[in-house]
Amino acid sequence: MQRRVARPRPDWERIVESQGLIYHHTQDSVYWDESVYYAFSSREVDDLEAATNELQRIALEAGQYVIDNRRFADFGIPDAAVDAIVWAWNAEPPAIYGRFDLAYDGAHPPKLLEYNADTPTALLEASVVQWHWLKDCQPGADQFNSIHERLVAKWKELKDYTSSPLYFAAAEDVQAEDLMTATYLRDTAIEAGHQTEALLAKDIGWDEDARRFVDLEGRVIQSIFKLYPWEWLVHEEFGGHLLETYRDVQWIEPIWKMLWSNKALLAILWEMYPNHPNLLPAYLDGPRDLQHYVRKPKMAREGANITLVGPGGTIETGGDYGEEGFVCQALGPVGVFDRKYAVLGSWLVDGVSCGIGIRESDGPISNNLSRFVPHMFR
Amino acid sequence: MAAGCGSKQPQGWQACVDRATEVAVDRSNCDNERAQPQSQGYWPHYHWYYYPRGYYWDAPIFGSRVPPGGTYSTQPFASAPLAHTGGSAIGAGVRTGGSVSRGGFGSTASGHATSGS
Repeated sequence: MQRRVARPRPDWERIVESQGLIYHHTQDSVYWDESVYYAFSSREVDDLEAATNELQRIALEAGQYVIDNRRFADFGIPDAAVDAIVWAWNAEPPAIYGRFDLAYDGAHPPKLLEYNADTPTALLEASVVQWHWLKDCQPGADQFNSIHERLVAKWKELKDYTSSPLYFAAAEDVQAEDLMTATYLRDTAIEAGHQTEALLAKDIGWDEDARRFVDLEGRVIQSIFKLYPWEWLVHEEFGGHLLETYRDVQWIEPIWKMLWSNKALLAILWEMYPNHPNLLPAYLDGPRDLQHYVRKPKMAREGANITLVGPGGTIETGGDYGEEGFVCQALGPVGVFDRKYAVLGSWLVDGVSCGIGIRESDGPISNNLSRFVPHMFR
Repeated sequence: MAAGCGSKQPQGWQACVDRATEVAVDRSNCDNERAQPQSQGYWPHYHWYYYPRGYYWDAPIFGSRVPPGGTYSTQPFASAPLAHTGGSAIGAGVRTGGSVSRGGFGSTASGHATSGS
């Protein structure tokens, strides 16, 4: 694994915008950064793929373990949501995608930092934009990336299963990252032959008489992809209606993803598989014997409310997460190259490893200012 | 992985189906027809349809055609779970025309990013 400096394409902003990446800058800095890239060997890619599939395998075991042992309180999951979670876990409604964040430096086995299983973003850049970068800038090289093809294939598989139209809902966000991610996923569904409709989360209606969710025209919603976290949905005003009607609506991703998109999963996995090569020690009840560790809220986003206790001191980030509790996880072997910290997002579609995206930060905590950097391998 | 949990054992599903249209309907149709006294040789309009889990993981929503390749029976299959039991028969695309409220989702997003977990 190497970090290499490169010359950006002269009109890279126009190019990536034409590919849908309109959020190529964050505040005053670049978000899409092609002034560098990461080069991997094929062995390293094989290791990443194998580790991702292995982590998915044990995550499935962990989900069953949590259900069998009624460990929902450890996740801060409200009692009212438990029946729907268990039902969905057993019924296996459609689930599309997820992203493991991995610490990896090319020398040690990849280690799981967290599982973004419910609303992962940085998808378009991993799936499409870095692929076009490869074709333009490294035409003789390869890339660990079949994300787009696998998304289309998965939607095709669901063609006769979901209802029409298939809705795609997201919240309005300033950067438009969520809307673009939902739009990209919608595009992959359209490519697969689905009839689709876009909808803002706030525009989802509740018909009190029919006791069904409806769109802006009063049409019943039966299949909906939502880029909106389950822990928010169940706590909002319509959360009760959602749980009441859960079995009548195909929500994608399904509600059981609450078991994975939660840092408590890290502690459960370590409890089940201590010393697993792809896991770091993690605990629900404090750092125990860990000297250097990261304290993470069970349900936080974009590096908020993190405390990092490292050899060089303690770093804390702000935010308003942490109500459901924290997990303490040992520091992982995050790759540091040229004093930049690289975290790998390892994508799965339909539960199978299919590509990576890299976020690079100036410090050890990834956040919404972390830059997306393309990669290649030979 | 099928729909997210491929390592789990396939169980299959069953649904009450209108034989004329091969469309899944509420189970009450099967139950009610079976509860009525019928003459000898009567061919039920509604049948139970069993599909081993594989390509399709769950019974189709009411109003949707069942996939080909399953098995019909006049009696429910004892070993297969019944999906969508008691679910509403309102189909996708149907306009309800009722009293609709909005804004019950989306409030947490204000000031937060969804990206991440």
